Amino acid sequence: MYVRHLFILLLTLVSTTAFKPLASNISADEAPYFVKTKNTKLSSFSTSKIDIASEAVFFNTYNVGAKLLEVNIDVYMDDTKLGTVTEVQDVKIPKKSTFDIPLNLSIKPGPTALKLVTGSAKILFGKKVNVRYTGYIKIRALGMVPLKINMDETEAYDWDDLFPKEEK
Amino acid sequence: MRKVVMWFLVVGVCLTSCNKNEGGPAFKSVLEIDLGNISKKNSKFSCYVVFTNNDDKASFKVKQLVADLKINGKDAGTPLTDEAIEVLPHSEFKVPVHFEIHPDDFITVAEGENYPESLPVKLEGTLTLTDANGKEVKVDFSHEESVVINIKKEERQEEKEAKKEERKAKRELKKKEKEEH
Repeated sequence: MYVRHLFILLLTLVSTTAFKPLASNISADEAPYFVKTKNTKLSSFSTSKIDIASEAVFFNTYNVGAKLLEVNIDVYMDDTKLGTVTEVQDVKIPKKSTFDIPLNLSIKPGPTALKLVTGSAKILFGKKVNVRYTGYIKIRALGMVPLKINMDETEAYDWDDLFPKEEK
Repeated sequence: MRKVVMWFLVVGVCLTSCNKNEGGPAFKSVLEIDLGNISKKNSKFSCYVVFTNNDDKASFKVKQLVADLKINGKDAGTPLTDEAIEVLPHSEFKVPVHFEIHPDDFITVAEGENYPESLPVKLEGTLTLTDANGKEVKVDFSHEESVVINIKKEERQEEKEAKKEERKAKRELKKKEKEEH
């Protein structure tokens, strides 16, 4: 009985020492978090298709790189749900750094697109439209269970924001 | 009439002197912009964003600096610094920015062609600080300048650092050998 207890104690000690360097690399005061969205624009706008492109910036607080596992972000324009971004792209998530997740959504003709066209018609008159991105991404850092990072951001855009002029 | 003018003057002087202490942190400039060796696949961008705390009494703590980095008119990423820096009253402080950039995102140089002598760099973002009561203060900044590219200089610097590390490793190896003997 005594030997068994001693063995368990030793095993615990060995495992904690072995995983300590890895744990200290991952541990951070804060979990990775959403920073902001950027480069939101209507990349194509026609009667057959409307493409909305944006990038969500997240910050990896860990001292190790991570892998993107899942994307699930709903896109709204003035309370009208346009769709959900689920495409998992090959994104490099470096340690202690920001990383950009492309959020591309293609809307085909239908009731949603019609609402979007009528809704966005107001930007022609100089008014702003609210674009909301809400949902989460999942990442996995080395030796960790998958981590969910939530995002919920609404930004108001006008014509110039959604149809930016190409910088030379 | 003279009395009235005198009173106006006194009040005016008082008001302008009171305004001197107003104003918190403000953006000053961006220093030492370095694009690293952009002839490689990954390069290290670094710079210092300088701010001044114009308040004579209040001290602050830097919480976060987020900026959009554009090189050659193209998006090169979003550097973020969350280093806690204490800001004393009436002082100048520098926030270091280090970020890995991918030169393919903003420049394409065909084989046999030379890199341009300089590239336009734009850094636009927000510094978030907290005051003594924990209240957040935000300072927007924007800076644009043409940065000289010196690939040979960067390569020399990298060689120097590699040699330095090699020497250090050799020294440590000798030290270990001595200890063993």
